[in-house]
Amino acid sequence: MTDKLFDSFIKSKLESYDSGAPMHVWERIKKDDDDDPKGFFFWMWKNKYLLLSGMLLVATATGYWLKSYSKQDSTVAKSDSKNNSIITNHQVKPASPSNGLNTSTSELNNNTSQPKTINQVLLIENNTNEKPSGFQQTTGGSLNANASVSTNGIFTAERKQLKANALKAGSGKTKNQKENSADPLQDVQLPNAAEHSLSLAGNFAKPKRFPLFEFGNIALPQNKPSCPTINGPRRRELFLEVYAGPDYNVRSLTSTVAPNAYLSERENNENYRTSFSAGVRLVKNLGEKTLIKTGVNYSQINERLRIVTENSKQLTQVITIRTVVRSPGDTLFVRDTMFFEQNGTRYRTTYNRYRFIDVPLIFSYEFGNPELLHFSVNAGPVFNITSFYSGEVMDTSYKTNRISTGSGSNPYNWRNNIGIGIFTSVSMYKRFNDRIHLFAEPYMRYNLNPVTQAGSSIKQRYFITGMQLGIRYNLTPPGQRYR
Amino acid sequence: MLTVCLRYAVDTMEAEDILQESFVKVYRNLSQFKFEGSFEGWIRRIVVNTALKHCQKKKIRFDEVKPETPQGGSIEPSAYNHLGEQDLMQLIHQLPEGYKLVFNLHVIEGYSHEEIAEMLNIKDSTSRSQLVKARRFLQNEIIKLQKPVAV
Repeated sequence: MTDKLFDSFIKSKLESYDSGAPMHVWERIKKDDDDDPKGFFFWMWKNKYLLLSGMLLVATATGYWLKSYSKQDSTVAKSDSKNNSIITNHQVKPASPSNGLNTSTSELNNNTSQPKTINQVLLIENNTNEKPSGFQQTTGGSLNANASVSTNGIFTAERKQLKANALKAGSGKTKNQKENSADPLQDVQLPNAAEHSLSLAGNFAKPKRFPLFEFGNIALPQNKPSCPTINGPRRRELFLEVYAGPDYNVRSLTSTVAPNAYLSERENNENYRTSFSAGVRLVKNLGEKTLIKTGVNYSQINERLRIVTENSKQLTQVITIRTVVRSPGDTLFVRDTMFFEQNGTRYRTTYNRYRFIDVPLIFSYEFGNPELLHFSVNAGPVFNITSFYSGEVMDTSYKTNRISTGSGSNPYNWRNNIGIGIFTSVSMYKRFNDRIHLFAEPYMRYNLNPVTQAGSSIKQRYFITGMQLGIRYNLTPPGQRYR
Repeated sequence: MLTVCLRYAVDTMEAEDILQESFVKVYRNLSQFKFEGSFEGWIRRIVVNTALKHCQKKKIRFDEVKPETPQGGSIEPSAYNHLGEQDLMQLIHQLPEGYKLVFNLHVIEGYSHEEIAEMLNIKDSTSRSQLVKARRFLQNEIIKLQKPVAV
């Protein structure tokens, strides 16, 4: 037989040969197709890098935009104050020669070498012209002191300098004036710093409105200076955050010993159900924009194990007891015993639960406008306090074993502490009211250690991603947030 | 299709895995079928490609296996009459991995040596030599089977 004939013989024999596929193969195919995670989380996971880079891009763009907005706003405010001063020079005319206001201005020009201070004085002049509340137009010295407190109160050194200037200016006063006020600062009614800073802000240009952040009837807050002025900008805030949300888990199952068929069988039989996490954490600011977050986090991974046992035999014993009453009156019990043997496919479903209690230690950097919408980038370690599991798992001989938590030689006693994990997230906060912010936080967490014991041949490790939705409550009352 | 998988796989379990993976691919890519050829042919191609992917994961070496010298000369045509499909399948299973792949692809699936070379990332000449050796290997095995049949 030639090679060609040999080949055609083999081809004719095997080309259309059908060995027939057993039923369980079709069930496996159907199951695999059904279990394909086509949901939102699958899409999220599939496009995780795209999403992450998108989120970073949006966050950066928003941060940059808000920053540039605030710069622009302060520039407008500065130019506006300049305009005010110019207008003052031209418009404010002394009502009478005895009005100390103009005199004080000229004195100040003589006494101070910094034109910046003059501008400030002129600005106050405008204030006093429009609304004299909180100020007394007395002497040039007192006016100067007023200006120093109200506008440059943040800078204590400058305040001292101005005070000295005020004293100098006071020395050039008339006798009558000296009698009225021995110490120039005694006459000054120092306005409340916060109030005054607000009144100053009122003079600035009105803030531009954000069309993006106009939500119905919610009034936009005024462009308040974010830090009070007297003792320096020390933010001291404490928040309480409560959150919960759905998770999606990706399990990595690796082994150097177990056959690939076993691992793929487990991947096929065990699939994930919606998991979740919830927690409470305290947030304390470290600096103006940096925060530390810590608390307690509970997360639960739900998993379904479905085992199909083909050619399963079930033996059922049926005992029937009949009572026969015979004519003489005695009763006879007749007991019939039957056995049924049923052959079929057995489906067994077990729901596994992997629970973790952790303490996160997250460092956070905030940006954006806290009055409207702000963001934070968070990262840090997560320390597992305890882990506990329930359910069943298949061994390499495809039999089920109960999993439990603990130590010992049993390979199904899994770790009760999985150690450290790495947490990263991006949060978006929306102001609800002065003390409450709502937030959404997509996050990722990678556990460095597997849930299985250190000596186990199979390493089962989880990567968790999810969305936490929660409320941030500011525990610090509004007046005490800057101390 | 399971038979196609069985020809490439080491055992039934692997064949079932290949079949499962192939059919999942078929379901997911049904929209790509353009009704230009036979549907069976399209599925078969997917199955073969999946099987090849599985085989490539194992890093097959196209080693030369020294063939045993044929004992008793040529094969009597009557020997073929007694050969069933199951026997042929078993014989193909006995082939070394490289031989088996080339033999299946060329003889049963009908791919040319150039196509096989491209699919398996080997030279044309390697494909040809593997086929010749596979054929010789099978013929030897058939001769071995022929003897008890003759008795």
